[in-house]
Amino acid sequence: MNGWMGTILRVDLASGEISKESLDQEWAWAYVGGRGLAVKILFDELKMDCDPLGPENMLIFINGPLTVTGALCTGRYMVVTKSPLTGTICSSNSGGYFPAAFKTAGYDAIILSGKSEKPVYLWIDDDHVELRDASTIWGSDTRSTYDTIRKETHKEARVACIGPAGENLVRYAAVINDASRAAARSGVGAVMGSKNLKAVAVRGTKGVKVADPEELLRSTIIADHVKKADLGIAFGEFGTPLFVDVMNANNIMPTRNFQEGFFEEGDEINGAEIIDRTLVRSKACYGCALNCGRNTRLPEDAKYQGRGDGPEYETCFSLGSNICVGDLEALSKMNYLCNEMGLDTMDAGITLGTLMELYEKGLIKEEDMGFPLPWGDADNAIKLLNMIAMGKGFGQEAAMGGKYLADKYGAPEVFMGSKDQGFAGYHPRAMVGQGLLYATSPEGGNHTTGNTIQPEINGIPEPMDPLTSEGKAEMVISRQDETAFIEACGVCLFPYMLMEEGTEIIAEFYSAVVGVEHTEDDIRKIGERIFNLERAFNHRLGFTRKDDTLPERMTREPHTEGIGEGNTVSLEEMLDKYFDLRGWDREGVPTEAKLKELGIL
Amino acid sequence: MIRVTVKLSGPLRKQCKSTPSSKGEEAELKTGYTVADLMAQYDIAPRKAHMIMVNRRKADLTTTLRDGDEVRILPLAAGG
Amino acid sequence: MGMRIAFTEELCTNCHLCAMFCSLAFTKNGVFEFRPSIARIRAVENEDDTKYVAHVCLQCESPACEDACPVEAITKDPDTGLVMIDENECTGCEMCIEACEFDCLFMVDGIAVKCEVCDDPLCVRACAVKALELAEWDEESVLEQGELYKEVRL
Repeated sequence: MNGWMGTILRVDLASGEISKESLDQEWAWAYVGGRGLAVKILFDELKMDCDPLGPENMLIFINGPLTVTGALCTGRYMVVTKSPLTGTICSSNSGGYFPAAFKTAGYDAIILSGKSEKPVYLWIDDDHVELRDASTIWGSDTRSTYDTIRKETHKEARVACIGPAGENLVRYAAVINDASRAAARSGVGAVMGSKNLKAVAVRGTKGVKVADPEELLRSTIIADHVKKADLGIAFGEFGTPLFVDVMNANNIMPTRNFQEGFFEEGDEINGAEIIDRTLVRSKACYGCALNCGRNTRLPEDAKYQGRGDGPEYETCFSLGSNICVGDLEALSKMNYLCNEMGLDTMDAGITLGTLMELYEKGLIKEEDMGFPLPWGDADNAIKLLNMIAMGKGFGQEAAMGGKYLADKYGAPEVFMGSKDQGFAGYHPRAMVGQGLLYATSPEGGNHTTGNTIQPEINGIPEPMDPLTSEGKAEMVISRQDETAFIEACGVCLFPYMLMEEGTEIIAEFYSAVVGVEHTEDDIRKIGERIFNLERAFNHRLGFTRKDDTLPERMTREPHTEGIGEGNTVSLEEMLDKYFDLRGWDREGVPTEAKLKELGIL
Repeated sequence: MIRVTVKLSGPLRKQCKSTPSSKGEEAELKTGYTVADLMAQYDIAPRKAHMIMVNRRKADLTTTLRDGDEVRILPLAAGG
Repeated sequence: MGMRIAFTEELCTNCHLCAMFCSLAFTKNGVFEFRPSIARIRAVENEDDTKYVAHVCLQCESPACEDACPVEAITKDPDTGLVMIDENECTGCEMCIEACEFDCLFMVDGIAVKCEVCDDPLCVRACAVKALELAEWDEESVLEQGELYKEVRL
């Protein structure tokens, strides 16, 4: 088999039974891998009404046929499950080195079910697979877990694990791999914690077969072009935090819990500042030519200490502008803390932003939390993040997330998210297509399922007015379908997003790996199938148009000073167009005809 | 002569006169200079500016600069 | 003397593309595979993640591996300067691997392998940051690279 390894590993954590099965080739052609294949497996096998934190939920670690091949940036995996934060199907993506390890160990996917009676970790060494006692590392942060497990297993082992946050079932707990990379969103870490699974450690020595190696050698030339182009230069040197400047200029940098789109202290927390003050060196994920990773460390004379990867742009927003922290040292500290404790920096920031707004409005008091929490109070934010991860005091409540807190303290309108998951770092009032994306994403406020940066901000392939609804439905559908395919392949979105012909290129690489010609249209069709399957999945769980929402802050309150001042998001009109073009009814439900057309029914 | 604050983003900051930083530096320009003239003074090719902001408003190469203006020049960038 | 693959640590990003593409050059029997575990160049990060090092044979002037081999399977070619392993003679005893203080020999499918400098090295092609290059052997840079290999072990 070219591309795929052909084997799926199943682990029943309740009985301890470990088994291997052949990958269903039909499903592989239809859903590919990653997000697509995992959702298909869950669609068929998961007891839909299960408690996401109960033993009946299933957790899937899955790479794709392009992982560890010569295509561009081939070191990604997804963690797929029913989310305890949103109640929807969710897929969380991460890079680093762990994804390559379990691919070369011989597995396309690892399906984890049930709940272990005692804390365990899974150790995979090619064909040898065993569950090991994790009682001595239960409670450890992710970096010491990584170090300890490597010593106990193999010096080349790569590890994905939870920290205290996942163990304590924080609703936005992450799965951290390679000590600093995160499958962060939708609370996937809590699902892992609910199963008493501390970590998955892997070492692999097998090979990934490819049909047409000559075509894949072309990737080195393409990578060269990308790196020499302006976008590639900026990306490799500055990483994602360069985006702080761009977002601020476009009035899209969410500030003060999305009340504004411009952060006065943006220059204190941007890509340049990181290079000048904390960057150790640029770093790449496995198989990646773009090296956007930020290997950073706080200087010895800094107020806080720590090291790790990041902060990425999303963290510069969530734990920076969104909560008015314009201090790179404090921001870096919170970033490292989230990595070590195993928290999603994005919903951590949304939760803090919600609390700061509630505090400002006098709806939550110092007595409720144990300390004040005004805008920009980094010290108390750090304190609270610790309490959240450790399940201490008010941290237990805050662990439930922004939606819960906004509802409980009497201001549901201040939760800045959709389907109970916080938004990403793009203010929809000045980037309305992104607003439509947030509203229609399977797992709520997610931005990776079809980020609209290229058309709406960079004007690629053509300039598009970010403030109006015109053409947005078509564009979002196109982005969602392309992205679904890319996320099924086990590769990174970035190179394909950076190149105008990205979709054409991934079609060529996919064809070259698996040995069957696929055109751009073919892969869009696969992407459409995956996206519709996710929609059908959520529909079975009761999600319809009524859940495809944006807060009134987006749809009614006019945008603040800067580009797009006065603008709001006309969501309903975009949704109508979107559903029509998708071939769904006006309630956002895929029609039987559409599902049959895609082979889902 | 007029004085403006110049902020160069990302790789463009290599053209700064003082310490490379996007926090901004003062530049002295002839009265009536446009953004294009400023960029020439900084040796930045016009096509490298994906976005030009003057006092937080979108501007372009033809925008005339005035004393006290803040000019920010941004390259094409990606993120996520 | 001859050629070797030179590595510049400061540029390395730990992407492992060198090992991935090297392995492609060595897959057998008409099957094309990316199998980094058989690569003749191996990447590793140090413990505190401050250094990224690709171990690839230095083509030593007096190779310790040649001395250590009990069956004379390893020889330094007088013309090219390349240190070569005769895979038919190799018995898989691993003495060469123990002897090399630079961690540049590896066991693959029961025999020892090492970089023997391909005509068109794929590792050099694949390295997107130009940290690898086909270079003329010179003592100073070889010694420097050797010190790095002793500092950051595989």
